[in-house]
Amino acid sequence: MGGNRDLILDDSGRVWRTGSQALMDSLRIGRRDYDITRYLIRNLGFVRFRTIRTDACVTLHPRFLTRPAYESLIHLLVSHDCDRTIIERADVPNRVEIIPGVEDAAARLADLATAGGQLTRADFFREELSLQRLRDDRRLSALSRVMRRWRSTRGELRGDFAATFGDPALRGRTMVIRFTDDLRGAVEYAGDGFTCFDPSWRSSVLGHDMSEQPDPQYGQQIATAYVETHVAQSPHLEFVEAVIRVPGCSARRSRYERLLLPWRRDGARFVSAVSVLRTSFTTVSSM
Amino acid sequence: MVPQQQPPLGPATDHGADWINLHVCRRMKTKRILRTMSQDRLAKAIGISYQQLQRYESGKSKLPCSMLFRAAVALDVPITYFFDQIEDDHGAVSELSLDKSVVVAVKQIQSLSAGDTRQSLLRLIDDLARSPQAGEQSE
Repeated sequence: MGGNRDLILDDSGRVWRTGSQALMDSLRIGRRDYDITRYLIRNLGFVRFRTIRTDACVTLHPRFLTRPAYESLIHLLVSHDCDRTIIERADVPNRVEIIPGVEDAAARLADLATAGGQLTRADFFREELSLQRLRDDRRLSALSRVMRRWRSTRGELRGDFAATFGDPALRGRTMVIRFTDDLRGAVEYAGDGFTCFDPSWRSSVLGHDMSEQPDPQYGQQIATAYVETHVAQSPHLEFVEAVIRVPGCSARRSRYERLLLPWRRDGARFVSAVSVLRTSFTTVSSM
Repeated sequence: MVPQQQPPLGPATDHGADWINLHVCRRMKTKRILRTMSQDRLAKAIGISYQQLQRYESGKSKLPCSMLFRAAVALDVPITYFFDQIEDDHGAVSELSLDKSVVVAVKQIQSLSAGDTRQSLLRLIDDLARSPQAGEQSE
């Protein structure tokens, strides 16, 4: 499908050329003395899909996005294999979201569509990824360097945590948990890159149970992977998508990959988690 | 009873790319994303590496029938799902929105001999399409 496209999807997922006579006929629109495309998007829940060079531009009113239209839209995004997806929302004028990669765009669109209740998306899920990705995916190069350090030291922590995890490319997104024999984990180190939490959280969390996050539900869910890594004593790469609800802030849906590694120092056992954020957006329900 | 003749789909290869394979692979990728399934999970389910799945999804490698069957099972779709919309997607997208009367008109114009009448008609259509009242209504 070469060349720029300008298509519009109706609520059944059927694809039309934007402004085509066939579309006008199907809607029984005779006169074109107003902006029909805008009307279709704002009032009837149509979704416009345009390609501009290597980008896809999607214009929609999230509340009206139906499941068939969503599925058809994802097929268009996959078929056009665009570098980035630009999302324009009819309910929030003058604001665009630019998302690289089809999968992240699909996740964001699904999250937006939950506003209308036609789609639901789990608040949390994680999936194990192959460690080979550290070699193949340049986006994960910072995690790859931590993995190399872990291999070269055979999991022996040397120096302080800030030195071990001080690579600026990690953007301070590091947590280290110290484990006791009864599988209880306490936060030993937290980097300064967790911007979704209050700045004072970083110091106040030290020594607390690993699940004691500002969002307790999220804390419980991510703690599982630390325990698994500690028990298995082997590296673990995973993808996480989670809605994080911090009191006093808007809920955010974040998508990231994280590498968990078991370490030891002076007889003590630790598990580190370093992550690379893919996307993080305020969820529609909290807007 | 004479079976109804299907319109030809055209050659399987188009400008060097196997568009049937590409369509099937894109449908597979679409369903994987809709199922919020990572490449790693689908690859594991069908017994290949995620790198090989990447090659299939991008159309760089041809998807064998056995993989297609396994993918259908893993994604919980009938095997026909991968071939849905194949004619719509491969044909010019504009055909999706051509109504029947336009198709009939095009056929009638084609049936005219390539003389003055046909040329005049095409010029008239061209003029009408370029007139201010015609054309796209867009933002």
